[in-house]
Amino acid sequence: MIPLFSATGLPFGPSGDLNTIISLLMYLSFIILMFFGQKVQVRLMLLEVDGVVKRLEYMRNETKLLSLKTLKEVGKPKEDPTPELNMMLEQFLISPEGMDPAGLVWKLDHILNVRDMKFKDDVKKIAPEADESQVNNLENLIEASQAMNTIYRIVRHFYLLGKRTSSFYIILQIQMILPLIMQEAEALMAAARAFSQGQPIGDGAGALVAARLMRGMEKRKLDRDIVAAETMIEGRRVIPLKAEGPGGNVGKPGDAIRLIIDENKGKIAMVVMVDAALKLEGDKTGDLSEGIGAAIGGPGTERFKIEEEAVKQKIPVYAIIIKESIMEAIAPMKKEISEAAELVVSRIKKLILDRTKEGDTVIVAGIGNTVGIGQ
Amino acid sequence: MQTRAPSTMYLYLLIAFSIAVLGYSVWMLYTGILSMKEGNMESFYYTMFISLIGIMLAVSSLTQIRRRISILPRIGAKVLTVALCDKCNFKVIRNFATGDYVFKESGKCQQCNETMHISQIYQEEPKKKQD
Repeated sequence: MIPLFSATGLPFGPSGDLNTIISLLMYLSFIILMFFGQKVQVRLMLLEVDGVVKRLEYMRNETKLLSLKTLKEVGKPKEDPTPELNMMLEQFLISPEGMDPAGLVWKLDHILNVRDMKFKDDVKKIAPEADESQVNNLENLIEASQAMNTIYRIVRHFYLLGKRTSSFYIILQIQMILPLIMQEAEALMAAARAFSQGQPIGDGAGALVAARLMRGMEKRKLDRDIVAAETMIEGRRVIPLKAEGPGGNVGKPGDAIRLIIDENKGKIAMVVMVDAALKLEGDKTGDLSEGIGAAIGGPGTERFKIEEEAVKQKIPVYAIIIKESIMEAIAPMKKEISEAAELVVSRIKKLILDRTKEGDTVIVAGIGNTVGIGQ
Repeated sequence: MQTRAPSTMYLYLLIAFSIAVLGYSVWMLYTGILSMKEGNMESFYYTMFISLIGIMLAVSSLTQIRRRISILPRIGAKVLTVALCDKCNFKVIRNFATGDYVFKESGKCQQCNETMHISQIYQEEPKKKQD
């Protein structure tokens, strides 16, 4: 009989017979790992992805429930909005064909405009009691749920495909980016909470700067949800503009800047764009950076419009960015970012003093989602 | 629609198992040291090897669990509203209430009775441990 307990009293301790068995087991495990190592690895990776799929499903359901709850509370619909909400969560957009790139930007701009209008109308239908600002917040909230739903479906797709085909490489590519996916999903959950309550998010840093500049001034509404004001800084006429708040909105700053340039017959000394920008790991949140060019994200149509008009009128475009991570950009605004807005105002003043002369006109565009930020 | 939160039982089981492995490994280490004192070097090397692997695995598992748990409070962080008086700079910091937004008027100043406005809304950072 093989002694299970060794002289030391420990189970599986060193004893002659057991040593032989352990050696045999080691050889056997080596041979098994040599031939079936990849299969074992696939099983382990599938187990990890399975856990993430379950967590994502829970997060997707939570954001959807939050959307439903907010819709019912704010919009007071007469019928259950669940079927319409489900339809909106699955809505998609087909980008224009790029084989002939001429006029591509305007085609995309048109598609985006139609999509925005339809989405807003859909929200208004299921939330008839909501005011304009609440409709914007609801729109952003449903967009966050939509993004979460898409993430969940894509991860589930690769998980099931990998499971069905037992393909190491299909599972590997989804398993490798799992930490980034989870980070984004967690940020989207935080964003959904922020939109449901109308809290400012990190992306609103640019809008906050413009709001500080236009505070107490007379505002006028420009086309497509943009507000502008006029103020004097060191003898220069400054026109700050931002998306109309406090509802969640990014507006169409490209169209607004073109309009202001047209109104002033091209006599604009410079355009300063302020936006939140993604920091690199190790960079400090809320740090500022100055540069040249149109600081605006999104699908690129607004940047194109600004660049085109700036080139046509030979207007220099300067950018001031506030650094933050992707997670900080869509989660409720951090104190560092909120305080950085003050510093940006003084940077803008310095830039205006350095690069323009008295009597000049300057546009300051605060880019970003203006949820929770008035004007 | 399924809204059940992911079960935490697996997490507790994992913690219990990791602690059990850690305890057993430490005990093995102690036994190994006793074996060395008795001059049984073969047993000493064997137990040292097994116990160190056990300790490493258990510590690594517990560290990973700790990291997962530390993410949870970050998700539900508190959001604060700062109301400021333009005249006397009196500041009131309170919890965010639905309907608050930056530059909204926020009642009268307790010191000078001037209208206050919301100057900041931000997410409170979780308190870091003082080392």
